[in-house]
Amino acid sequence: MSAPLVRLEDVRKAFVRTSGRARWLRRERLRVPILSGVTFEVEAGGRLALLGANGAGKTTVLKTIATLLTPDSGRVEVCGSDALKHGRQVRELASYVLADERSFHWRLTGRQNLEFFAALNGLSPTVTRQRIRRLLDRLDLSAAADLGFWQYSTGMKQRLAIARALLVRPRVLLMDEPTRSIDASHAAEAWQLVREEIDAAEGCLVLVTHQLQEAFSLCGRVAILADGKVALETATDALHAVTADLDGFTLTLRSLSPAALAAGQAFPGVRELRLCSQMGDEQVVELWAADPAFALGDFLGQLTASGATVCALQRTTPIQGVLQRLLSAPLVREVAR
Amino acid sequence: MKTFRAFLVRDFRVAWSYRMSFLTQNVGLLLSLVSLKFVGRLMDGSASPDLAPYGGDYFAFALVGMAVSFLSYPAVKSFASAVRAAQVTGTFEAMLTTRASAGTIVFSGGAYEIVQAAVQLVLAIVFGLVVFGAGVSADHLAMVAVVLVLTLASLAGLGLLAAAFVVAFKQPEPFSGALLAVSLMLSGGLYPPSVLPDWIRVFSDLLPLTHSLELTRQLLLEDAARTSLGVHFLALALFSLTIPAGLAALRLALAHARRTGSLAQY
Repeated sequence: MSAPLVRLEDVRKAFVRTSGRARWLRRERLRVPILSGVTFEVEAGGRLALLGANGAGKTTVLKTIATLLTPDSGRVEVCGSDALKHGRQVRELASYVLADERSFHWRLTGRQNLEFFAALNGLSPTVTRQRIRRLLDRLDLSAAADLGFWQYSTGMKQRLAIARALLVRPRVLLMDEPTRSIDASHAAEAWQLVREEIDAAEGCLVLVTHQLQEAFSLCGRVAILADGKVALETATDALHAVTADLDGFTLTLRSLSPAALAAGQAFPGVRELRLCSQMGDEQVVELWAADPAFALGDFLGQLTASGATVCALQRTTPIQGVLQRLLSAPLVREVAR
Repeated sequence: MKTFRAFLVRDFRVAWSYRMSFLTQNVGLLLSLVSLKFVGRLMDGSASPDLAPYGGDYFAFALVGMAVSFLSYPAVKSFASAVRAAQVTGTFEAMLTTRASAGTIVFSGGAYEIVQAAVQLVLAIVFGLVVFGAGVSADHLAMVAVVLVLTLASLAGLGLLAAAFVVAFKQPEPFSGALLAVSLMLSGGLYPPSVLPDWIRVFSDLLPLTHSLELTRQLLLEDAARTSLGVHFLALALFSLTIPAGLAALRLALAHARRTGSLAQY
């Protein structure tokens, strides 16, 4: 196995939050741990997806690797260089696609923005021109290259952010929800480009995403952050096998009796049915079905026959629900095997 | 140099995208020279003993004073305002992920305003000389250039401290603005420091702009007496030693922001 391009060892980070309450002109300071010992490695050619609920510390991990954030303790290495001691060396090797679309100069055109960042990365004018032409072309931004950045749609801004990160052909590419607002066909082309660039540089990718499908199709490994740690790190295939049969729904019901809930839990194909919240006569219930051919219509029929009213039904595609399932202890053991 | 040039090009493009502001700024400068010329006419023949060491031409005296004062403002303020603008527009983090060092980014970020002020300084003096016949001599231009570079260097330390304050506390600090206002009042931009009460002149000698104005006038104004040039050069050189302190403060502020995760905050 080759030496890791990215290596995090027991990285810890807490932020100090001040409360709004003033006590004798002193605000209360609260230490909120974000990372509580994150450890992982990504080798050359590796593509790791970082998953986790909001606030799990995914962006904090990326910022720590990109030298934008100093960890309280632990070790962060990029191609063997300590990010804390040799920040400049690390920045020569790593590129970061920020989640913030404000990270460009709005009065400049897309091309002028890329020229500016290419110069900050020390690229020669010839290389800059070549790279910008190729990247804009591949990301379908050539026609908009000389439009002011303020005229770009959100998706175009995100594609330009990907182009900026790829200007230098980095060994380590850090991406924070890079395709959040990009349509499917442009996202597919962007991912194809990212794959080619990583392969050409013999580099690696650390991707933060909330889209499981994206993680499955692009990355070889997945790390799930929970409680400030890597709760689960596994091959994407293993995770895919476990989650493929998970089908989740959120139901908003009225007048659901305990007996009807128990009957629902015993319904064929139901893996889990649990009451999430109750307000007055209205209940929110989470349903996980084990079988893709689950008879949802019959299940709803049974509920209504028992006197409950189905007010709303929503498929649980947000990653949060899937993560909750994945992080349940039996499943972690199942995947880890 | 690539980074420096990139910032100059970027800021010129941004300034040029606001063409009206770009033009009115320069027209405003030339109009203020017209006003100054009329004030100078009012002073003609008054033969003030305080103006005598500078050749007696008030317009030329005030022209140089105003032009050099142009330079002092961006030298102190431009680094901090560049950091602030980058924080607010969200580009600060993006720039700090590049290969350019943080010091270079902050320093280059303020360069356009300084270059713009230097161009305005030259424009003002050339305009004053050609249109209004100000008594300005071109005999010591190389030394004047050295004085102006030293002026920038003597104020840059304070400018970097101001930038460090913005990085650490996410708001412009109030001290450099106050110091600039005091400098403009005590250093003699529009009147010789000799008209000030003696006890105030002690403070005026502690300001880099005083020495810069004195040197520039002695070297540029026709018939000006050239006295204590070495002392003024030495004073500016000593003030320039604040640059390492400014850089150290900037480094500390960046380390603080990286520790607290506040680089992107504003």
